[in-house]
Amino acid sequence: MKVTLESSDGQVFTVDKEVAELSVIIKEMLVIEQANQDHPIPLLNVGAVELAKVIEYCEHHRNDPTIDDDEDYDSRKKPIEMDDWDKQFTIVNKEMMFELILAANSMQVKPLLHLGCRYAADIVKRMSPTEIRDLFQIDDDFTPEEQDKIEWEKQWTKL
Amino acid sequence: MQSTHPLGIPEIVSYVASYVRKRDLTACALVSKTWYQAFNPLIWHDISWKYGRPFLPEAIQRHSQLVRAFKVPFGVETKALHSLRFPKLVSLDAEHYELKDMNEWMMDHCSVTRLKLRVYEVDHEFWNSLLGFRHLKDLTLRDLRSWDDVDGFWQLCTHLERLEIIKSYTPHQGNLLSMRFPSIKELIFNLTDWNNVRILEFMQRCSNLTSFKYVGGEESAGFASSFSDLVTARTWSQLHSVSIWDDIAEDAILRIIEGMQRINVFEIYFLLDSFGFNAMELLRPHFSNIRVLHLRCFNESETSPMAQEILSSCPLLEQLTAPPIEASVIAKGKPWVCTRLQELKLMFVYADSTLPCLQPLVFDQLARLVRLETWCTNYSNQKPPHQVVDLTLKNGLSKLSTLRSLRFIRLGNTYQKMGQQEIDWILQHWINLENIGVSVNAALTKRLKEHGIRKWT
Repeated sequence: MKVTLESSDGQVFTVDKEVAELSVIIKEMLVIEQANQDHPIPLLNVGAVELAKVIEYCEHHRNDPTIDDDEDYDSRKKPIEMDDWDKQFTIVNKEMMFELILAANSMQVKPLLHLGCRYAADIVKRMSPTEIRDLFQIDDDFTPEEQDKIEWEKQWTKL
Repeated sequence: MQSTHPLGIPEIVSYVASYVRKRDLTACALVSKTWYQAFNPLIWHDISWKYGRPFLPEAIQRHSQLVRAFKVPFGVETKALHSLRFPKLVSLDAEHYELKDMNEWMMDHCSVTRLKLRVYEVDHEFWNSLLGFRHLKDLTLRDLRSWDDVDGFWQLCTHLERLEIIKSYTPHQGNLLSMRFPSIKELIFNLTDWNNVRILEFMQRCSNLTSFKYVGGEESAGFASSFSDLVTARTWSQLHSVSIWDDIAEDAILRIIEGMQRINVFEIYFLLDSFGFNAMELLRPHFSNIRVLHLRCFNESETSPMAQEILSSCPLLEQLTAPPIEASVIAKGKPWVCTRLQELKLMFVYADSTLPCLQPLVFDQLARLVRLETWCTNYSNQKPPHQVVDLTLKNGLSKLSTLRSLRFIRLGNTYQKMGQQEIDWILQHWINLENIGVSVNAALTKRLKEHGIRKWT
């Protein structure tokens, strides 16, 4: 069975249902709108370029087992498997990768979201807080007192 | 809109946090409040009280809800620990710390499932307070000399899954003969006195044992042989992992391999005679399951083609330590299939001046090990006799660009003719590298250090 998806800029994509269902959001929508399959499913936060890339990812991973998304921190010990295809897939510029993370987050494509976050974690390696802020355009919203307190606690937790 | 940057969204940042290395956590926590929320739990999740660290009870108590694992080193004032409480503690490691008068503290941490303790003497009350850890599954005891009231210990063992006894005396028999320990899966022993009979009496009562490791010594004579008889007799039908740090004869090794229905881990550290053709023959049917192998040759100066066969036949292998191997055997051999390998301790031996021509072919094989984290070229503490690896671009270093997971490299402290170019290459490709055990000139050592890469000594 096929489903159609519409990007925020109006482009329509037709994909196999089980491919689209890697997105938790689409899967849920399909359950609700079972009868109403005439209209494409609108994805208001995802542009055509990103959607094409997300679909490419889902096509490749259509037969993967679903990952349990527990909040257990011990799961960090067993990171998701990354195959050669995934490595090729992540060779894009940073801006594209961030757009993909956003798309994966809004469509809830968990394995792609994890892949993107792993990519981001690789980038921040050996960086200082200032470098990270500059790179991701994040504002430093700590008060000087808070900053001091964390610096002070750091004496105890630093490796 | 600033807030739509993905790395400002709390949920996404917490996913990123789960992939960041421990050493980068603190820098990340200082980025912003959102990042602090995501990273702080990871920073406090697993803490250890390092020697010389100032005691900050307020700070520790403020984050005590986040602490799951706590490690206390030797030399820390007992009273300090008494004042701390960690409501969600799972693991306590006080291995380097003598516990005295800690019963009350222990009672307040019933959630603990994993305990590592250093105790010299124990009494009835001690076992009682340990029995208070209702969820305890994993117990390590160190330096225990006097096993008074041993029945409390046997009682405790009935719900343990893993028991490790280090540098201690063998427990007394007590009521052992009337006990059964079906939940015990893993045993590790390193005993000061080896009472073979008593240890085997205990082990035979652990019918579901899957994994056994022991470190022997002068006192353990005959244990390996008696143990191998019990393995042959199928005493433990689920036993799949055996690590023996003791003198062991070839016939005992053969009996153990023959008696195991499945082998995941097989480690032999010392040999009385050879580990050879016969043992390999028996291991071969297990190649599809084997995860950890540690093998030795009787004569360590000899090379053996064993490693090439293993590396090209064991798809699940995660760790391998094997006798030295001729580089030409690897170069001409079948492709390595063990793409899950994380640790390789193997010395390559190059015949005179063959390195420039053979090393690129050896590196082609190595490049397949994309998950490799630890790479050592000397598997014992001996100095390698020859130049065993040459990390220069001229001799094929760039082939190893796939080894992105590498964290530790030890090349027998060989002097490496690396220059600026090689160091740049390493920093660019081996982004996880933490430690490198090679000799290079002072300027390059300094450059590595600036990038957080320490010298492995």
